[in-house]
Amino acid sequence: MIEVKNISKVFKLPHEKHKTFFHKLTGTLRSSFRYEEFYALNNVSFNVNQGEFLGVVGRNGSGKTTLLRIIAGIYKPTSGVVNVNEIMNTFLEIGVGFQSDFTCRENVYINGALLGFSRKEMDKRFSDILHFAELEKFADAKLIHLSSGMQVRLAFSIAMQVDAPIFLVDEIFAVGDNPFQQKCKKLFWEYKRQGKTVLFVSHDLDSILEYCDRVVILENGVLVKQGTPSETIAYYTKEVLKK
Amino acid sequence: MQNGKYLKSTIADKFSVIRKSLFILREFALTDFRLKYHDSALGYLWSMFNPIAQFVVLHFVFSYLFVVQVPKFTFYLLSGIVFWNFFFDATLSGMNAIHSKASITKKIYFPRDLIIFSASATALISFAINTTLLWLVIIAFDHFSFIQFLMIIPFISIVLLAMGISFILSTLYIYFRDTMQIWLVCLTVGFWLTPIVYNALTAPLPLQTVALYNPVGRILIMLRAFFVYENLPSIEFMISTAAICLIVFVVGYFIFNKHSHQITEYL
Repeated sequence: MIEVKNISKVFKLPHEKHKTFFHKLTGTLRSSFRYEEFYALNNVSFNVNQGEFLGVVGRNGSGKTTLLRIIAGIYKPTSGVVNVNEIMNTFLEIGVGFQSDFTCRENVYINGALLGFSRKEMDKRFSDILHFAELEKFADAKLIHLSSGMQVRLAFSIAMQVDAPIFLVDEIFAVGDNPFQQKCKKLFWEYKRQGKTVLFVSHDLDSILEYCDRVVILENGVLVKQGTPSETIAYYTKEVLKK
Repeated sequence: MQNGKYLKSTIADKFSVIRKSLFILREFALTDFRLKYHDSALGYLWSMFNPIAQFVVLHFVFSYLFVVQVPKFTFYLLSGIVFWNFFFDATLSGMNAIHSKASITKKIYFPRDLIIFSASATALISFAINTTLLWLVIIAFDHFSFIQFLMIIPFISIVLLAMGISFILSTLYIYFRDTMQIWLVCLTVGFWLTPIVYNALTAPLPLQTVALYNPVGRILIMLRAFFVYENLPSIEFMISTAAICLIVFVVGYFIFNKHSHQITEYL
């Protein structure tokens, strides 16, 4: 279960960006630090219950990614708390740490380590990963020699091998060709059947309707509505997207 | 594929966090080490080319042009260069790593100090190889004695010192991008304020004072005592030097961890 309580995140947008000592010195002489406060998230609270697929929708810049980053521990919230009672795995992006100069095999281990797996544990999963990605023939090919679609498939397959009760997922569905997408869909239904808790951010309203049990809408950092997928998506298309 | 139970029991405790950190540390360090020498014909040998050239030039200049009165100057200079080069690499690699790993920190959570630990580990691989070679050279061309094993003290001291400084510089680097340029100047000046080519104890007084207050200088004095001259410096000297390095490391570590969450927001 994920519990999000009164989360706010303020970014300070400086009027002048001081990146170097020199700028800082001259900038301080000219004007003291002036910045605007920007609320990326403003007092957001919600829960994701055990075994629930919760969808998060919102326009670009509405705070979805900031929210995921806070839950994942990447950002510190300005105020509020997040409680996560079980092991969580985050997929804000897949294929983190990939080195294009290295082979598929080496990248599987690098990415695996970032997801918390030792070399030994990855050895056991290695053939499954390449099989799912349909890249058995390319195990020792350098990543740059693979097409971008193949690279994404590899990344996605590694991600699929991670088993945790909670997943944070940021828009990783539109991957690969049609048959591969079908495989991914099957796997997600399998997760749903196993009762995994998933927080799912997407712009693809169809997949939100397909998988989610409940949906929250973010608008300019504020949680404006939560409820069943059909009613929230209807509200979202009518009220939020029309503005 | 399904072993949730296993994961649950391991992530739950602190031990497994450390265990997982070690996987990441290993992959980061080896990746960086391999990337550094990737696709070059001579590979690792290149990393030795620069210190050797440095050694040959300095040896020539200070043996023939401006003669320094240092007994066993060849080994004296060689050991100084190996240790100084590690200090140089390790302190710079921390800032480089912060820069190159900033994008990963936006995508996944892992303890941020791993960035510095792995950068130092990469430098440490070369350092360990070079120190071993240095030792073999000394044994082959000079002498062997059991006192030489004590060089583990200056070895560990300089690793702690370099990591501590790396933590501090990397913290500054998050906020000020020109920390790197300033530190490069400090290193250039530092090379001559450290007894690498001259003897600290016979140098003119102001230089002697600087060399003795400079932790790298103290480490080098210890190193040569064990490695080259086979005489022991005073216990106080050894303990105080090691203690300074440990303090720098601990202070640097805490400073970095206090600010490390800003990496994602500032870089």
